[in-house]
Amino acid sequence: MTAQTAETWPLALYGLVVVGMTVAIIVISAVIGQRHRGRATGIPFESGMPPTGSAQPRFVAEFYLIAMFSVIFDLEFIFIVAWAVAARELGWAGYAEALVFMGLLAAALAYLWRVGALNWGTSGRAQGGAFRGKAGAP
Amino acid sequence: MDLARYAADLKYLLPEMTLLAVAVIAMFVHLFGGRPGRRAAGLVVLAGLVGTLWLLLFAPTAPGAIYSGALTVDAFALFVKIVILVSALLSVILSFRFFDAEGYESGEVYYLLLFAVIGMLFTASATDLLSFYVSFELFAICSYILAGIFKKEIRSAEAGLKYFVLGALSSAIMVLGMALVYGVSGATEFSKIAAPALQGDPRLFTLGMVLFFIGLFFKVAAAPFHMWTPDVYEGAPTPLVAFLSTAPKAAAFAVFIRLLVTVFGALEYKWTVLLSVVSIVTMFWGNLAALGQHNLKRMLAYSSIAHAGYMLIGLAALGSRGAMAVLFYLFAYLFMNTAAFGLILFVQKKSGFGEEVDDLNGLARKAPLVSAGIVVLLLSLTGIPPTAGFIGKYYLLSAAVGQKLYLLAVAGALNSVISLFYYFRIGRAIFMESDRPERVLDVSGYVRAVLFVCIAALLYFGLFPSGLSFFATLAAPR
Repeated sequence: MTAQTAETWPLALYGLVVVGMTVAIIVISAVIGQRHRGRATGIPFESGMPPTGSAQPRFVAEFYLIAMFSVIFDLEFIFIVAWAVAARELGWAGYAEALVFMGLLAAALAYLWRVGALNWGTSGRAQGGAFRGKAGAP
Repeated sequence: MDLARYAADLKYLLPEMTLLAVAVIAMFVHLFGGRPGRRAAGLVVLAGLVGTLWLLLFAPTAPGAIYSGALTVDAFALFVKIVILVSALLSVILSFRFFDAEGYESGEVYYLLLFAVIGMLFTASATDLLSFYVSFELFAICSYILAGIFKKEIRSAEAGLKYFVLGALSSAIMVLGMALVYGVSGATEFSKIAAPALQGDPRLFTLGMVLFFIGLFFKVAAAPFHMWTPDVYEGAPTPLVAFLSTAPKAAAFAVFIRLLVTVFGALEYKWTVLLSVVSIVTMFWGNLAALGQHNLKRMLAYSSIAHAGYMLIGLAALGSRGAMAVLFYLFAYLFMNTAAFGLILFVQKKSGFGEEVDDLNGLARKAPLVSAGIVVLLLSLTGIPPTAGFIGKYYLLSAAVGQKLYLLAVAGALNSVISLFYYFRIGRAIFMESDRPERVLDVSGYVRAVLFVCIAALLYFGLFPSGLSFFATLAAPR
């Protein structure tokens, strides 16, 4: 047994136990479990409440836009902070590069604003869509 | 911190910086130019691409790695960049009336395409795992959006989503491979990986290489990672397919060659076998699947898979003249595929989908000149002289023979014969079938122009290949 296998065998054992237990639970409950088809068997479990309405209502899914903007702008903020820490050492060349970077960010913001991605809510999207013609909002 | 040198190295990135500026300008023209601005965005992008191509033709090569080994601007990178730019240029021209006629917003297409091109240009230059991955993802993400740009059309949306999900998965696999390569070697710079990696665990290094290649196989649509290709090409807008089926492959093959030469050079006996097998499977799969297709776009998608297989021959036989053969073939393939998807625009339906081979029936009566050009295109796709496709295939097969990979050469030749059957189904439909009475040829002059440029290029490089092969030999890494 090499040093590497000596270190990693508990991990392999753990994996085996996990897989084995999962298989055992499924198999044992399939073999010895009881089966019945009552009125409520096929209904999704909702903590005792009988479910009402359709499962596919239309959500206003603005949070995914917010999440995307936070990725776009927060992540870029990291680079700006990193530059700011070393701004003096980097001098004017670094300043110029940071300006270019921020200019591109501003261009991205202008794009988002113009295509109506910042108009949240149901009516705002329709206004944004006016610019976009048939293609619709993003 | 050696800022002065970094600033001086900027001159090697002039083409990329120009394109970035053009893309931002095009975006503002589109956003704030009102109705004329949407058209003008395309013209700005076209002018930018022409200008950048001009810059690239006279671009200086850097005497080594720049930006601490992250990038290099050698003749090889410049050659691939020119292929990518020509592909983008032709696709932009193909797009010109297409998006207006389809009633879709067109401006975004142009600058998204430019961002994709910027990513590809950096990919062709990348000599570091990190700079490679960032630029690779830049063009990959743009191409997912381009494939699904008709978001209200269910097939285009399907194409975009499929491309994105499978692309993200293959990227994840590739990153795992990169992580293993880094783990074995402790270096991210291509030129510094090989030496320490050979001291480490050879199994991990090989596994890393295989996983790394899977991401690239996906991008070049090599079997068995090609499943997305027919669906995506069928659903994506046709002028953009001309771009998506050529330029990303050029970028991916560029990185492939760079990796094989530098990082994985010592594992040659392993990757020769791997690439040979993948190449043979890809060629047969692509060609045999294309035989049964009735949809023109799906048929051409399988044909482009087969062409990826041909180019993999050159990679497997990289030793002698393989790289040069791949570079030459990339150039020929660019014109062949752009012309092939330009041909589809001739039978474009109003809804934009469902172009069957039968729709070409009797095209020769309405458009005799174009049909004559199509014959050249079909000859080139099959690999028959006097076309660039023949010369390219000749270089690939002779590279394989030079490396004593006889099986590979035989498979390549055999596949040319198979491909003859389905390519000439297109020819038969155009010339032998009777015309459709309801046909109205509504094709813009842009499409005709692109078609004729491509066909003229195929003929020119087929009759006078020495110039291009000279530059390809010059650019091929040794």
